[in-house]
Amino acid sequence: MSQFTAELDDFLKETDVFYSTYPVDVSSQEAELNHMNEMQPDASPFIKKTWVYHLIAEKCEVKLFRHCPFYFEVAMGRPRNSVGSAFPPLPGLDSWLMRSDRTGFLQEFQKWVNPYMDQDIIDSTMYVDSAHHALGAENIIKYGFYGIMSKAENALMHTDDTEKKIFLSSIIETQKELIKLTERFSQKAELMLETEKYPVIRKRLERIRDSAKRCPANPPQTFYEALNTIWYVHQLGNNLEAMGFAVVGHVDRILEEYYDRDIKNGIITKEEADDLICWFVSLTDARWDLSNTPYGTNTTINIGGCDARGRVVFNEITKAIINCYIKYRFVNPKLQARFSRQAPQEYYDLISELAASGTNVLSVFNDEVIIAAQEKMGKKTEDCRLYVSGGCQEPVLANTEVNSRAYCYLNPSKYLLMMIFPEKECFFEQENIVPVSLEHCPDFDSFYKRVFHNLSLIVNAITWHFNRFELRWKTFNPCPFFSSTIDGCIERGLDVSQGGAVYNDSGYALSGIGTFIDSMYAIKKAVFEEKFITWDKMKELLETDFSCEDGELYCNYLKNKIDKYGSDNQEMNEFAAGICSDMADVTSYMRNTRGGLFEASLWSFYGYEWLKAGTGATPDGRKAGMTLSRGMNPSEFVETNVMELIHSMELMDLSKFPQSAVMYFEMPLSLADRNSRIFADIIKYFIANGGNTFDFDVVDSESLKDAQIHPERHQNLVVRVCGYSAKFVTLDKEMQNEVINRALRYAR
Amino acid sequence: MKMKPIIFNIQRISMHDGPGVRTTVFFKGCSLNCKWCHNPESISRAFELKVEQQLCTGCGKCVDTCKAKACSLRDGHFKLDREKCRYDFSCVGRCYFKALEKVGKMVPISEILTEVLKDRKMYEISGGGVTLSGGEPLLQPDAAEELLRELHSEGIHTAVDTAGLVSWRAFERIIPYTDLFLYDLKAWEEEVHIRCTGASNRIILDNFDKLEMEADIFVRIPVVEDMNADQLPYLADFLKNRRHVKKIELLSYHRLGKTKYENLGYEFKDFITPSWEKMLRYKELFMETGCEVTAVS
Repeated sequence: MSQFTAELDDFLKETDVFYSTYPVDVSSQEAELNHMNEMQPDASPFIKKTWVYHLIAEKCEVKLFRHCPFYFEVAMGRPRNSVGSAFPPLPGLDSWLMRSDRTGFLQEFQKWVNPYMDQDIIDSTMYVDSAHHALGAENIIKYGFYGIMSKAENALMHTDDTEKKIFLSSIIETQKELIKLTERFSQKAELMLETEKYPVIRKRLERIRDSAKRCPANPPQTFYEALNTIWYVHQLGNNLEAMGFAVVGHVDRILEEYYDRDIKNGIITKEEADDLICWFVSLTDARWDLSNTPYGTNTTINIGGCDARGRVVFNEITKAIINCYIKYRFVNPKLQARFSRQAPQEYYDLISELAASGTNVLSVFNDEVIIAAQEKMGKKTEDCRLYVSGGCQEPVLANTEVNSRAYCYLNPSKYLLMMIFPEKECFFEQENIVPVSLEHCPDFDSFYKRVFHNLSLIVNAITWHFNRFELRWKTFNPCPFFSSTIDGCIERGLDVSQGGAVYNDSGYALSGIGTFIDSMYAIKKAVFEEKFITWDKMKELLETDFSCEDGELYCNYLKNKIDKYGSDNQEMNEFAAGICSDMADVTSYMRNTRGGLFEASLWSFYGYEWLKAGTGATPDGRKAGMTLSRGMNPSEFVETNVMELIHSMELMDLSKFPQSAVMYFEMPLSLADRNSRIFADIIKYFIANGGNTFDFDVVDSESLKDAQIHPERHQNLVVRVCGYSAKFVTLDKEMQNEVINRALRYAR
Repeated sequence: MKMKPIIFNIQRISMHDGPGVRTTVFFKGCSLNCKWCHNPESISRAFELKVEQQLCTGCGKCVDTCKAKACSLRDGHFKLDREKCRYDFSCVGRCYFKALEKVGKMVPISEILTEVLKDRKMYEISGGGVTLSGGEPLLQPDAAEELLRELHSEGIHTAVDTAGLVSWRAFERIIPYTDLFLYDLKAWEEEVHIRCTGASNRIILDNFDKLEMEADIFVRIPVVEDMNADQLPYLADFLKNRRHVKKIELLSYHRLGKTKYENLGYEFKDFITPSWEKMLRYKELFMETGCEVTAVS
């Protein structure tokens, strides 16, 4: 039995005891911050943020777990389950600066966004993305805190700009605080050694004592130190910045050279390395209370794909990571597997085995399309190849990009209804925009052009506001620590909130594209081509939610007699490809305030549920309040299967969606019984058809139904909800039913 | 490509009709009438009307359009008088609720090809291809030959699922374009075969012997406990020392066709499903043939 297996239960108990005390009381530290603020109310927000780092580094408890080889945790008052401190501010010292804001910014944002949230025009709880970022861990691995500090000192010598000087000074202060904080882990280990008797744990504490003294103040020297640094930095982000850092990193690529060197030099054995990897992967499940994760744990690991030079990444670390999910059935982090045609068959087979095990932690990324999508936005190929992904599945370039995403969900089906009934919603008047009327269109072509013209007006209006709010990021919650890890910030003397990164993009999550495609197609067919329904009748049907005379008949005609996206009919496939392409154009290339552009996505997390209630009846026969389509999937009532789904997007150019275009595949477990290679084949087929990203959800509908009745028998049944994984028994009844219905739909 | 075979379904991601991931084209019409058939719509070559009562809302559009007065409403529920029905299917077009469906269509080979070639990339990836099944595809030999020829010229792996009760000439015509035969055997004793399927098995066994000399075969044997389980030892014997039999699949009887019977207006007869333990025992019988044997529940 491996050391990890032997200690796993104790480790989980130990972390549970510790984290169940969260959020710990930090009121005395917070009082100190308030006092400092009273003394220096006009200090720069950058400086104020370093006060937070200082208090955390000096006055919060650093925690080491006896049954864990890593050092990373400092109790700074944030809740156990949180996706970073999303907006509005959560408890915890990291959010202090936001809480101390007296400008009324929060209220201002709420005042604008709430009415639109109520009407399901958009869903947004964040003025800027506060939950899905990726720290540049590789820069810390490369330079250490000292190295970053000297870069900042050097830059400081070469600038006369006062604001830049303040920013660079804050970076220097940040590194000093982090060095202090890290040393405390060494001291803590020393302290624990005084009483620790067990040789295995003593050895572990000695290693922490020695490593924390020098790393990552200085670059890691061993596989162990590099692995610890990745997790430590990830946790530091979540503990210090009042931001969620979803992305753990491209672990197998980053660690390959450390692994090879340590194995070659006899510093570590394969078994010891495998054990460390298991511990590393287990940290998320250990930290979170998994009985209450309505939106997942917002943590992702990337594997596979390629390195900056385009060489395939597949090594012993990749294998160890996949195998530990198969063996221990971890629910988190989500495993994001990058693929290309060059990936070795062994990688396909291992991922296929993981999918067939029904653990449902997988997202699959097609490098060929996603890298091309980044390149199209003008990014350097070497940088594009290093994309990582997270939150759900949104790609971001490691170490060079700060991408604001998954903070605002758009609802094009609703916008279509707003255009049809412009007098009904206040949006156009409020935003001072005049949409082109959809009345008296001579043909569908003209109708289509008017719709997309209006869509563009709506998206631009929304963007105008988000840019207004994004401008406040730099004073509301600047991020010197985050900035110190991202290429460009020190060189330019700018925080990530000011556009310091090499790439500074934004993007909206587009919800319900399937509903929108079907609605447009239904109008094309029923109103303009077959002339089965007059335009006035269509409006009456929508306005009355199909309750007017013959409403039910027309509703079912629209639903059942008109082709739907996902049924893989050639004409529809061409139509859907056209809509997606035009939708990408309408939702990208606007400028944000950080010098970057908006990028398109066909992805919506839970937006299809959040935005459904206020979306009236749609021309595809969907009744008011019913669910919208998920991700880039067809509507839920469309009969389809995985082959039809994949082939339906063959004509789409999904490289127009740098922020991902996500398909969800529910597949019966029995598929694996018939052909163990099927999941590998599906990945290859997906790539061959130009797919962008997909999630596997391999489920057995009978087990799910049984789990509803006998939850105690299915404690470890994990399902994919929408971009995240969760234990089935912890979902609410409505969500359980949805997951079961999805499973039944594909169980043929 | 002038032929228009009568088919009733094209099923993609078919995992049990030959190697790899396949698309199966189901031909309508069969020369057997197996009592347990789970595809009752495959037996008759004629177009049929499938009624899903639970989807009917009683709107009455079908009644208005039915000239033969076969459609009616009773207590708000759809009622079909199959005696009166002239099968012009005008009611299907007027039913917006998917309660009525025409089963069977004549589809030009070119259209079938377009559909099945959609997954060409998957056939290459998975080592799959296209399977002609039914019903009995060889009852439409001209169309089957043309479709198989076209598929072969496209480089697609082809399989034909047959029950064997057709003229040998039909086999001769398609052998050049068929990579694999899935040959269904139900019973060895003639009277049992007649009891199970309504037809003698002499031609079936003769054709099998001839085909086995020339083409690769997967043998498929449905196992219905109270109908043909006693035939399995004979069939195992029959299949000994066959050069081209690459695999034997024992398929356990299931009741999944029950709703289909009701929707098509046929009487459903239930049979006994063999237990998994029995299936494993039956599998043992066939291991002696030296072929690969699988049991499917």
